[in-house]
Amino acid sequence: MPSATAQDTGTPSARRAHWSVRLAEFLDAHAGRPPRDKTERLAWARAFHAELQETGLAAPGWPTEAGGMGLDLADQIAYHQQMTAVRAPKHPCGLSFIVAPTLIKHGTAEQKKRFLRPLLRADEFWCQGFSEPDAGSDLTSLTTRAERAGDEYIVNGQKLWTTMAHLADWMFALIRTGPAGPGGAGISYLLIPMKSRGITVRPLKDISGGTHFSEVYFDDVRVPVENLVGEEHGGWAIARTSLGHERATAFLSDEFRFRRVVNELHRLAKTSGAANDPLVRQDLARIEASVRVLASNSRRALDAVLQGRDPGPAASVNRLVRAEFDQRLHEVALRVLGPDAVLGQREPTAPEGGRWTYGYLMSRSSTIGAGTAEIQRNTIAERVLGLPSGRKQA
Amino acid sequence: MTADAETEKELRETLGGLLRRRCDIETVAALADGPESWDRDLWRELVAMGVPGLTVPEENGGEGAGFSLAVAAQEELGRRLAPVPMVSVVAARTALVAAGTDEAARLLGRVGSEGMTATLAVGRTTDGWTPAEGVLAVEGSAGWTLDGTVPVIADAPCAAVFLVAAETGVGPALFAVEPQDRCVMTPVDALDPTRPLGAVGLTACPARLVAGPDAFDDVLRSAERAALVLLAADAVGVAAEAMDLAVEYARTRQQFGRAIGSFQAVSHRCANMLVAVESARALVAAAAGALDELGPDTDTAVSLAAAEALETAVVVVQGCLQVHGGMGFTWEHPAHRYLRRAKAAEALVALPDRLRERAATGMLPAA
Repeated sequence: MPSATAQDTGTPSARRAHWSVRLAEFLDAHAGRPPRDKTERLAWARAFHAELQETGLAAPGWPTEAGGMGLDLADQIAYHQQMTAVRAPKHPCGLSFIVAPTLIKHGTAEQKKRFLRPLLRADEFWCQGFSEPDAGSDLTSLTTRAERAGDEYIVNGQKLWTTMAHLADWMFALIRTGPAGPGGAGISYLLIPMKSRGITVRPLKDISGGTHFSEVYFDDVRVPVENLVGEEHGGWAIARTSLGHERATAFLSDEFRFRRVVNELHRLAKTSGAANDPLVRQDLARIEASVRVLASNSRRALDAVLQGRDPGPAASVNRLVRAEFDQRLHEVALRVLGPDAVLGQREPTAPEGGRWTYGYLMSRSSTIGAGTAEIQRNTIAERVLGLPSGRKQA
Repeated sequence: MTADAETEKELRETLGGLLRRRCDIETVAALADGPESWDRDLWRELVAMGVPGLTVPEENGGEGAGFSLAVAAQEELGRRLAPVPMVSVVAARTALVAAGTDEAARLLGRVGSEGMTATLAVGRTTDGWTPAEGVLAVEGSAGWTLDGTVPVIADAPCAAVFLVAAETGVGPALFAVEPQDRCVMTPVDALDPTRPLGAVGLTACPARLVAGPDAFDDVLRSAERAALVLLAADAVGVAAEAMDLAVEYARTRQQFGRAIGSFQAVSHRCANMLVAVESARALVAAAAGALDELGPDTDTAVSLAAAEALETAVVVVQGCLQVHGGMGFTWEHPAHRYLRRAKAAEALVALPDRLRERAATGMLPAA
């Protein structure tokens, strides 16, 4: 706890009061209505998180030595509730929190010192270089490679579905440094500056017509060897560690967001009159059950992580439930919209600024990105239930 | 692990051990296919362990442990298809605690100390319990008498006392009657023999008033909530065991030269089972917590949990049967016993879609 002083090292609730009072003061001073303009909104969110970090109120779950608040589970939940209640801006680069645990756990002292602070402050943005055109669900077959040349790697290849690539300062990437083999052999975890010579970013239009991700091409890109995280060829295990963290902790803030969106859906159903339709009411009750399951499972998963245990089935299950819940929620929302569901997101008369139709389109990625629902089911079947794999063994 | 989690783990282990010894599938099948389908001896052991009194406050002769622990116990009972009237007895005890009358206290004493079995004789609709249709209570100089027939009562063949929801002329009330020549129980063939059914015919049958018209609605709702949550916990146990059976079969059954569980059509079905079981268990735990600390959300939590768990059990057992192929369709294989327990439970108190409708009423903000 960065600012915990001698007098408030007493009971956990005293410590909670301490930071939560400071957070409340901070939010009073800094939260507010987001600017309408997209660029201004981004700058606003960045400034918010820079000051949050400055005040020692960022990263509630990170250890204090990594610049976090080192809060326990109850406090982390309270923290996220407090942030969500005032609609504090989300960190503008969610991917940063996928690389951060890997750096905290496997990075050198220099790497932690160099990267963690600007990451938290949103001074620097990160993108993830994992997927490739021929390596999606079968990620270990990736072929973007790095050749060692003195104290540099020379990287060639292509990454795909790279979210935030056009805004990112850095990419954390899985790169082939040795021959492929079982268990993700020959893959290294590299931190690549996006401004490097030889990198080309080509935005890719997505389902909504927006550009949320890109193709990234590497043509003899030189990366210093000190940007290797962990052992050479040992990147696959590290990447999985980071995914584990993502699964366990990312649920927490989602829990409150989902609750809020469901409440908003209830209001929409009330105003549109759909709440009187018995079929819609069945759907809303199912959605309600799911959002409660998510809340319960994410607490269990986070609890396990904080006790140093593997989140186990709760995390795998929650990931799948969450993905399908997000889709179902938006399907029901369009049913609630009724005749207005024909309106595109740019039509000015579309209810609530077209957010539900936009959300519906975007939610189709929930069961694809970061592991398809099919791969999630494979994982549950093989790792939790102990069923044999259907894939060809390498 | 918290103290609560530790207690739950111990209870599950003790009860699980007892049931593995005393209530294997052969025993259940033999009882179900025999003349008396419930297991008196097992019931006595459960009474000795204090399981039927887990939810009853200590001042009413119970264990005072609450629903959070009771649902864990019921899940174990469901897992082994235990043919004991636990759901009915807990619902009856909950009704008696809620009634709070001297007669209720007297009955609670007997149910608690003697392990006496009791069940509610109520009207059954798709939307829950009502007063028993056509059962009339009349107060004479010698006290109350009841006339009429209750056609389907859960666990009637095991019950030593019936709590009958009858019309008094100034509103429905709850009465206690005991089987005798003016209160005749006739067994009814049940889809699920592990939860036997019976009809009760009442002819000027002497009855004692347990809860009057003023208290009746609250008493009936309390009992119904208790029944729903325990039935939901039972369903989680049924689903969990059916999932284990399906996974074990998928792991070992070979076709096309490989285990059928390596085919995604089968393995993904099994993965869906786990998702459904874990989700239902989480909702049931939340509902039990909501019953232990009553609040404005209690009814919604109970309705959602029961809807989800009851439906999950049916879906998972049907999936288990499918994974077993032709074997699952035989009388010898236990799949049909799980299917019977799951499907009958869905219709025992209130149907899942009706429960969702209730939940929608509770959770949608007022217009």
